Amino acid sequence: MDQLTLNEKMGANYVLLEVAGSINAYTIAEFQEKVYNYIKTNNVVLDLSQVYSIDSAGLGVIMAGFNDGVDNGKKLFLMNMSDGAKKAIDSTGFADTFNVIHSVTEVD
Amino acid sequence: MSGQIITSIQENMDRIKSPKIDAGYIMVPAHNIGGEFIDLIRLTDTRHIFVIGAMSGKGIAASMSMVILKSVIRTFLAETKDFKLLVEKINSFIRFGLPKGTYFAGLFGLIDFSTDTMYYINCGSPALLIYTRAYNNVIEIQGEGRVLGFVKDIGHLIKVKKVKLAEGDIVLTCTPGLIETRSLRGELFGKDRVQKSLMENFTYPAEKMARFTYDALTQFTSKELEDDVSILVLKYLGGK
Repeated sequence: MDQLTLNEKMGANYVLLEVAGSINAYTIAEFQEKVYNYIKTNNVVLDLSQVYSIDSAGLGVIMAGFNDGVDNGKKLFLMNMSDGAKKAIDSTGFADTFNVIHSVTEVD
Repeated sequence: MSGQIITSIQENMDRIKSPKIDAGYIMVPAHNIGGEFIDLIRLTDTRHIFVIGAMSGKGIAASMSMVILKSVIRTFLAETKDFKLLVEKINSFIRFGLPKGTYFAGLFGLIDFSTDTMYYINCGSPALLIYTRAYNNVIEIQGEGRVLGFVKDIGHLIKVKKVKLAEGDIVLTCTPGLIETRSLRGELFGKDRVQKSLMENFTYPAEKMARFTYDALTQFTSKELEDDVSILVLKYLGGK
């Protein structure tokens, strides 16, 4: 059974979510809740270095979180994407639209 | 019961009756119902639309989005004749009319039998292959694509492409479940095996070609499939 673990860290102008495992329809509940809640009032950084796959349900949450951020004047950042995460993001055709960073120092 | 209704809606499409084409497909959900679908929509005697793709997510939620989208596509077709505008409107509908986080990944195609031309818009389809009889080989023509339902306005981001079809040409397109499924040893089925299947079976009817490609996948994986698989094959027979 796939698992997903989340670790939260508060930064000066962002919330960092360190995500590990597979983001999919069966593991997504807590991830979805946190992304949707935090993006209302904060920039959100998703550290995806330990994510080995993202399915369409997971991509849907990331896209919706990105759009919520735009509506709320906040930003969703994707940090240090693993190969699996990058492949999933690339499959949407919108890799150039997301805010991709390599360090939290790039959060603006 | 809901599964039966959804499957019935999923399989409700306008079969292509033109003698110029032989169309065949296979749709196999991994878990009873899902968000994948193939649709064939008759515009006129000489023009037919095809759609293949998947709504994001799994299970009943994804399949409900699929049912709604199938209906909306037909509604929009009644009010717009512009192929690109149709896709733009569908993008907006998914973005604003379906549950948050829903998107569509797939392909929209339009075949004009009077000019032997296929128009298509890649909306995140992983593969669109064409076997050309003249060169006896298979090439990929899907190009870059963007999923529908993410951005508010997709008009400037999508392109209508076209390809001229000749007698004997075969178009094959599929959802990711076909090419991204791995064997027990972790090996990808991949596009090369799809191309191989196309080359080996091009003498068969389209329906059988789709079935044989799916059979090749199940033999390759030797395990229960975890993702939905949909394959559409269009054999252009040509003629007047």
